[in-house]
Amino acid sequence: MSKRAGKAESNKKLFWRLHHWVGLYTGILIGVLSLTGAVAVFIPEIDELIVKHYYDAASAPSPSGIPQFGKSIDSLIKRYPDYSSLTINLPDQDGQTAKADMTIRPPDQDGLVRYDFFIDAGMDRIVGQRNQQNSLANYLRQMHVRLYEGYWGRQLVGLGGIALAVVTITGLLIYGNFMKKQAWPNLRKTLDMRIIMADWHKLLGISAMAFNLVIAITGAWLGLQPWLMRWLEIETPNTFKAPIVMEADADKTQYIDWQAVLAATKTEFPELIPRHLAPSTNGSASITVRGNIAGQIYERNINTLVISKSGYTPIFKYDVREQSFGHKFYFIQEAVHFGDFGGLLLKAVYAILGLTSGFLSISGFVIFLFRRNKKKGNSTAPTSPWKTTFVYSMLVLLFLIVIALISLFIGYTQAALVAGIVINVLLITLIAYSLVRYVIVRCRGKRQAGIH
Amino acid sequence: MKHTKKHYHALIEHYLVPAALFLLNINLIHIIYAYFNGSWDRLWHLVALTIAFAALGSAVLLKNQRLLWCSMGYYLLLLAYS
Repeated sequence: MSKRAGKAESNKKLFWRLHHWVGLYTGILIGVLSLTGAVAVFIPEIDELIVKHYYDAASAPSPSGIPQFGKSIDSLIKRYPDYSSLTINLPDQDGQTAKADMTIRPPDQDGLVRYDFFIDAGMDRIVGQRNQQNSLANYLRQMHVRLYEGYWGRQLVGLGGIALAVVTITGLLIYGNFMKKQAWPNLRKTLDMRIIMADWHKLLGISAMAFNLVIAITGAWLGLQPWLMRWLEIETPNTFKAPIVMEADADKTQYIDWQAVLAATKTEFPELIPRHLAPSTNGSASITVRGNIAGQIYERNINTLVISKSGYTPIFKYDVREQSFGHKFYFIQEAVHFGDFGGLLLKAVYAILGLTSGFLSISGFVIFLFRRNKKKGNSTAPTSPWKTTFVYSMLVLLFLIVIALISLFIGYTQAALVAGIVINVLLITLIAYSLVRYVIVRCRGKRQAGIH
Repeated sequence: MKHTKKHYHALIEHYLVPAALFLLNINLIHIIYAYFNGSWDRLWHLVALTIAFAALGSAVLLKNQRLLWCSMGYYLLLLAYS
């Protein structure tokens, strides 16, 4: 064997080992993120269905064709004068409610609570409310974004993104070696489950490779963003703060003509489709209007217009199309990751392709178990690979369901506490197991070298 | 009748098909985005994207080396110039 061929062979072995070990140790994380991600792309649609059918909240047609919510907002401000923040989410389609997302101090509870008030945007009346943190939409987002773990859950998800990128790239590098004389998309005719799973693993892995790589890289960035931005000294774009011009209490109670706000937005930023309206509460006497521009692949509601409460004149405008490459690149990550720029069909494609990484982690684990049993000899195998995979999958599902039930029926804080304990105990166990295993293997290797 | 075994082409199977599948992933998302946002004023762009999708898809299925190279080159040019 020539020197170059030997080096290529040794590189392939290294890539295979990386693919094997990274996949094995992070497979469960990748599987959880794949499943929760496939559901997370539909969060707005799921949430609208819940609001409509569970809370029985809907909007009558508005006589003017423009959402009406001013009277409802005024009544909420009178009811909760010490509210700390308010954002009005406008309906996407006819029939949907507008939502006032308010952080308030309920009379019967200690501390601040974030509430969603549903407003019939045709009749301008409040038709329902819920604790925002305990909603299913919040559960789905928090589970995918930070595994419901408040300390380093987001960073763990980011590391999961890096792991997925590593297994995707190494999978590509060893693909040829494992295909040998097999042609894509042929599956070998056999009853050997290891070979069947290996064929599907290769077929789906290579077919969805670009998608998984994009999801992995954007997911790694989104998860590790707070750390990376600190280390690389990247400043968050679009963080305009209007100057303080009055007392905060006076600012909170200042009357706002919301129809005038929408009219001013149409004049000053005609392409903007307003989605969120946030009046200031800090004394800056301003209203921040956030929204989208049709056909743009950027993070939702990132285009901004800040207007003054008195006179509704513009103070600041942020049109992402006019920004530098850095800003555009920064704001494209989330949109590309969640696929919310091409309607329901694109979301369905995202969900299907997103599930491939979950299948790959399960099939990879099954292949590993079959191979290990084969090495040991079938008779000594304690449990079948299917049984082991089934138990792991059920435990993951149990975790997701229990946290969902706690979050929905008891509270977000309690769910986050339980999730935090489970995840951190598992993490410590995994690290300890890996270290012990590494030390044992090293000692055994040294002992065997001493004998020979 | 004489049966000839189809020749296994490692360059196509190990490199060109994965590369074409890679671009096909991107093209699939691209084409859905383009149709959803209805850039009908740029009809040529939608037609060109649809041709790229058909070309890449058929190249991957037919595994013709020239078709694989051409469809990939065509879509890369389309990405660069649109």
